Amino acid sequence: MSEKLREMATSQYLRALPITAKRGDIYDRNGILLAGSNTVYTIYARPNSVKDKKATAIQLSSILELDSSIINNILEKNVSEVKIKTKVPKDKALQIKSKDLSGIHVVESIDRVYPFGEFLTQILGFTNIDIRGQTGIESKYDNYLTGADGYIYTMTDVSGREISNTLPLSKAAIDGFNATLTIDYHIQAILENTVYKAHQSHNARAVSCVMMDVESGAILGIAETPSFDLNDIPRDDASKLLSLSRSKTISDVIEPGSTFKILTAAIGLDSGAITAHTTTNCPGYNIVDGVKIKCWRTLGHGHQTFAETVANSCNVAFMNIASRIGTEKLYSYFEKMGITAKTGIDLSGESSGIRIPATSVKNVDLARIGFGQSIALTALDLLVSSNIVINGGKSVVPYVLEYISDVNGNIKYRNYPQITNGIMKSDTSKIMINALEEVVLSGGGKNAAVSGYRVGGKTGTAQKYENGVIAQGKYISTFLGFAPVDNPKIICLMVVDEPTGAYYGSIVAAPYVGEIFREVLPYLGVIKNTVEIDKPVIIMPNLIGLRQYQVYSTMKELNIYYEVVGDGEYCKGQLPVPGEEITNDVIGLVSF
Amino acid sequence: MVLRRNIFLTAIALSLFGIVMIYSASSYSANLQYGDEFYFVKKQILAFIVGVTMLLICSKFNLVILNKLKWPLYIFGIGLLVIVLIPGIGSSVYGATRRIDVGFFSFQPSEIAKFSLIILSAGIISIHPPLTVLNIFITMIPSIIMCVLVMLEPNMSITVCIALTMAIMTIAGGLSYRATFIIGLTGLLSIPLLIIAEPYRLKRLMAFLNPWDSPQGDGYQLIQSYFAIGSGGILGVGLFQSNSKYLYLPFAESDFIFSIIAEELGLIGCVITVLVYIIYITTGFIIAIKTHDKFKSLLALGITSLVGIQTLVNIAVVTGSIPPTGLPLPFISAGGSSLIVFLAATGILMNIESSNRRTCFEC
Repeated sequence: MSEKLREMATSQYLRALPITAKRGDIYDRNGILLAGSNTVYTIYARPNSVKDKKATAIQLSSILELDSSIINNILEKNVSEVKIKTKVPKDKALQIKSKDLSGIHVVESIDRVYPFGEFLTQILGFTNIDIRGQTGIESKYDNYLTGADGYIYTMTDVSGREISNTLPLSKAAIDGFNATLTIDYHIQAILENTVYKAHQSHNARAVSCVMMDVESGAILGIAETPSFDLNDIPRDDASKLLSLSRSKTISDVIEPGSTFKILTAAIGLDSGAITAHTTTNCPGYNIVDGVKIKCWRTLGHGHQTFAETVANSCNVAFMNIASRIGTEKLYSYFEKMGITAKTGIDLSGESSGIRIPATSVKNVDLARIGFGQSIALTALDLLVSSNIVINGGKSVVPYVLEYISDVNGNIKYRNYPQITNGIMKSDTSKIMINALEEVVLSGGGKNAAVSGYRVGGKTGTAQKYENGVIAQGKYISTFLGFAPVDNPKIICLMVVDEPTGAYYGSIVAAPYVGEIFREVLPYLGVIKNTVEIDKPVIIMPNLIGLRQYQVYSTMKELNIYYEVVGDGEYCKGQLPVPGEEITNDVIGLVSF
Repeated sequence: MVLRRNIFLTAIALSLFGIVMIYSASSYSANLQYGDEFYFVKKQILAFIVGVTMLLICSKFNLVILNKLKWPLYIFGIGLLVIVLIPGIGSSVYGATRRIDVGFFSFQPSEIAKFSLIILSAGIISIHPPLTVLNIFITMIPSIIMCVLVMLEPNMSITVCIALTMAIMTIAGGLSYRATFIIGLTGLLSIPLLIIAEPYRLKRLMAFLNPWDSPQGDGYQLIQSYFAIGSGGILGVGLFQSNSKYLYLPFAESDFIFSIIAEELGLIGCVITVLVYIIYITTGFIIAIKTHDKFKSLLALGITSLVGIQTLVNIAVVTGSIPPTGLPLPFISAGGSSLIVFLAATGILMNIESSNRRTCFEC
């Protein structure tokens, strides 16, 4: 009883001023500081202990550059303790300390700083006023990053006046742990630049790009626009802040479109529904249960080998593949591969995808799912699911935190790669990798090609739905790429949301992935293994006035991949313009 | 001679100890309030000098004259109690009007009045022992009048002390068991009535039963007292080292000074203090028993009982054993009038003891 009373009494007699514990730093995988803390100082007053309030206010006002009447008002408050100013730099804090003003206290506190400002914004996240994590890594690993605050205790009377003949007691603060991410600063910088450029060039609503290590699932970079500077958080507009600070890559669900064909094709091969030798005839449409579903090329693709169907991204072929697989098998693969499920990344706010319940899937739905419609998933899920296809059939769980360490570098927590073997056959993977390389060599992925490296990938262009109806003129353009083909190391997904003007994934998304790979592959030390050959220069012919099939045969002869706009009979416009000197790795755009 | 010395030395020791403790308990608050950390100490020292003078006078005074003056003294006491109730004369503190301010010094009339009643009652009982109903009434009426006046202030704790002292004196005067029982029962039954009459008493009663229900309200003072006593433990935090005195414990230098003693000097300090009181009280009773003169014997009994009861009630209050009431600790608590009259009463006790020996020499 006596002990308890003494304890309660002591807590009553003592007033505590906090010594803020240093919040842990966040580093990239190379040890580059991404989020750190500056020591700043907070000036407190115990108004009852301030002897000459006017004089004190004047002295403080000259140092703090605050109006002395404001300070005086604070000092006149009838409270035991009050903050005068936060985030005071060290030199000014020392000046105040040296004046030894009665009732004025200088206390160390922490200000969070992000050396690169608008960089990895959604993933790093930020802290609140009390320096507790609010979003992203800052929030997810807050318990590690936050240390334990210390206190300076002083004896006061009942109204907070300090008792002069007692010595202050103190309890030291315990600093927070540091976090090291899987993110690579250099790769992230490349992604940030590219995403910014794509956003500007296409006047898009939003652009995001995520890159992952194929074998481990470690996220190497995630860049998203629009974004904001973490050192200047727009806290005034809560709804805007909420939308900007949420990672679209993990929380926005999109209808993937043709990029999804990677998964359909792989499931088709793996389940035995098709083989690498299965051929398809495309008349330009398919009739399923009496509903006519058009191929994107209304003229049709004719007879195609499996590799050609992938390179052509032929909708008819993928409707057929999905029908051959059947709902039951397709969904069992969805289950196995985690398609439309959460990937399990160590970030808050991940969404799961949306799919029609297996029992409600009609043949029309099945056909549409085959080419990436009537199903929706997050960009991260699309990336991670596709990764199984190019990773020899092994699945990974993506992660952004490498490890947590204390001030002395001792590891306190670590994320290990979680790899599951045998989700798909390795043969399936081999066939798919080659087919996807073909897309970059001769199909819609041409713009992602990188001289000297073997790159694989798949484009996608999906129409957006708003309130259940197709939103005219609104598209999501995607490109999923990986490299190098002979032993995939990195996989990357670029999503351009609502580009204005051209909207094909081949034009809007693929070139940026190409640019990224051009910089990232040498950075990762991937050795060039193809001989660079000078492509012959050709003169772009005049296509204006030609019929659709004439354009098709002309371009096929020149081996130029092109996208079609409109469905008129005759060619009305073309890019590149007639007479321009080109090589056959350009992608043409022809309007009818 | 030993009895006389015991009474004298214990009273002086308690008073001096009180001055030291008042300094400790009040230096901080006095400095804040009056700019002089010795404010209360100076007043107490002045009262101590006056009190010792009174003690010396009273110890030589012819007690026969005192017996003769019993009615004028009583009327004087009653007069003071009436004056304090006249609006504009008595000064009100915390809703009670208990003090008269005479410029340079203020005093509590009830402190003086209660001794005038003891003198009167001792006189009446010695002539009209409470053996008949009429005599009982004659004895009780002056007490009842005084109790009513004190209750009007209101000051329940002094009333209770007066009533208990009167009860002891009446029983010692020869009251029968039956009458004791009936009067005692009436007294007990009146307590609930007194509580109902003033709702603040019920609130205080509740606060005493569980102070933690309203730590910032009615329970505050008691909790602070607990904190002080608990912090003190066995050995105390050391003289002048109290934390409660930094305005946490209200009335630290007066009604709640025992808590400060407990905090600074611990259980050991408390036990020693109580032992000194026990010596004083025991000596007082021995004097009363040894005195053959009925008036003097009853007078000694009354004075000693009052000191005993007031000490007991005060300690019971600060330790949360009974509901809190404002009652000073005899000799120790800050308060000039209280110290002066207790020292004067001590002089009377010494006087009685001396007169006993003189009588013995005569016989």
